Amino acid sequence: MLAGLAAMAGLAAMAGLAAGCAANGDPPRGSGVGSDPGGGSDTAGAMTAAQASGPAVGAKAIDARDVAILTMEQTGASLRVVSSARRPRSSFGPAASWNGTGTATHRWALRAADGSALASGDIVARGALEAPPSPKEGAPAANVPLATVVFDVKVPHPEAAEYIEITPVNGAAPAARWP
Amino acid sequence: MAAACVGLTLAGLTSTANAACPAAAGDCKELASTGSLGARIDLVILGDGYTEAEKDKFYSDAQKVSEGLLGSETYGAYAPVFNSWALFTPSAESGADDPSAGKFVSTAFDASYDTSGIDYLLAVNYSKALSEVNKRFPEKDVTLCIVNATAYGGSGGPVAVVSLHQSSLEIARHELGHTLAGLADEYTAPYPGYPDGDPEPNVASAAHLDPLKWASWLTPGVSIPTPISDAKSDHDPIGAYEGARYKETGVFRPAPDCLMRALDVTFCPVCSEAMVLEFSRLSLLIDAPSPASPGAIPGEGASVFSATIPALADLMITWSIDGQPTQTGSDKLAIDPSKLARRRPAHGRAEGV
Repeated sequence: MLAGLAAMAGLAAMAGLAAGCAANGDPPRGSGVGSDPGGGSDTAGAMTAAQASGPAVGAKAIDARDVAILTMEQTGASLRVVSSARRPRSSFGPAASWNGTGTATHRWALRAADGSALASGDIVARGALEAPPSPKEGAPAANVPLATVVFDVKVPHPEAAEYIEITPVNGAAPAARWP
Repeated sequence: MAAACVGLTLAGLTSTANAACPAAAGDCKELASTGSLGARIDLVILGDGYTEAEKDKFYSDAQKVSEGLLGSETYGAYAPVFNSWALFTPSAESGADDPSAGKFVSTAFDASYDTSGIDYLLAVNYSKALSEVNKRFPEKDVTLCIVNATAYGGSGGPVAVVSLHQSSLEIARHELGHTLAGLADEYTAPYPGYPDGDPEPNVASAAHLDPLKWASWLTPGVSIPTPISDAKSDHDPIGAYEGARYKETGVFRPAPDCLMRALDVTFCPVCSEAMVLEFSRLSLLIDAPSPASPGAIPGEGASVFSATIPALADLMITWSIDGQPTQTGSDKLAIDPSKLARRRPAHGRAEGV
């Protein structure tokens, strides 16, 4: 059925070749090591250009940081963090910045102490319960808006005075701040 | 040639071994482990309505659900990019609430039929469920909750929820189409207040029929729009059929029928493609690269690079140097740097492998 969809794994690597170069050391720029390969144009969570300005001096590169996983709960005009966890970026691989696929419902931003955005991305949260029709079971389709919307978001872990801000795209609730 | 060294990195490759349940996961069982947590799509199966005495039943049910999901069409061909885990959480009582039948039980995640008065709409307390997973297995990519009840039921939402009824798993297959690939519903039952538009890969509004976003899949000679009377089977011909995204008119879908339109049908090619692209995006398709991290190789003499790939049909390895394909089909490549053509001055030269 999927003939023509043959995936191809391209092995790409950069090799810096020079007399007397160090045998070890940081990965070459652009090598992909420590970077975040996840995220496409329609994939929520991909970091935006705000990241390009880089983290505060002394802060660890944003795309090499641990990942904070926040469980968010939005009820009416209230948006809050109900659970948080921290894991190494390598635990997620390409999914480290994936926050759902589809039309963004929320946005996250990593902000410095002065409020400037160091990185940001989209989030796709599901705000309704849904079931497709099942002719076999005689069940029609169902779509029911949720009074309480719950979702997870993966973000770069803030350092020092930095913080994470989560904002509904539709402005239905004030931004939530963590920590 | 001066003694040279090569700092070499296989881009972004970290998968080295199959994973086991993380220590923080507590009562957890590996259902299918094909690679490390960072290299695979990690599906966590949560259970509700299982008492402590029913732990083994939960693991058995979760195994069946995992195999039923990852063994089905589209998912099955890509099962090697999934890990699957069962996370046990005991409930005080067995089963689920069924308010219309006057049944109420105490469970970990408050599973209940009859949500919003729809008897088969089975849902849980999502704050409790997602918080539990975040506490014990935050590395997950997708969460599915199975409920220890046998009547048909389920739902998609913050977490896909299914009962143990044989048909319920179809709901999970459909819902992961939303979660993973951002697919639109293709059925026409009205959804008041749903925003207009056609951003999803499997629907097109009347204004976007030419060119169609799935033009490469169109059956040659098919009429656009495609009358449903032209349908020969669920997925043939691929065209543009009116009726999708909760509307009878004005929005078009690729196939006569599809899992995104109704249960007990497989994904059409357009939806399958979207799923496969997302599988590829969220997983690493290269395992156990050697060298696994930046290192040095002698400036002269052959050094061997190797990697393995998941056991996926049609997946192949292509090695390239400076972006130019060099070798295809083998999981090993031998390079002698002294025999590589110099492309830049020695101190600034870069070679890609």
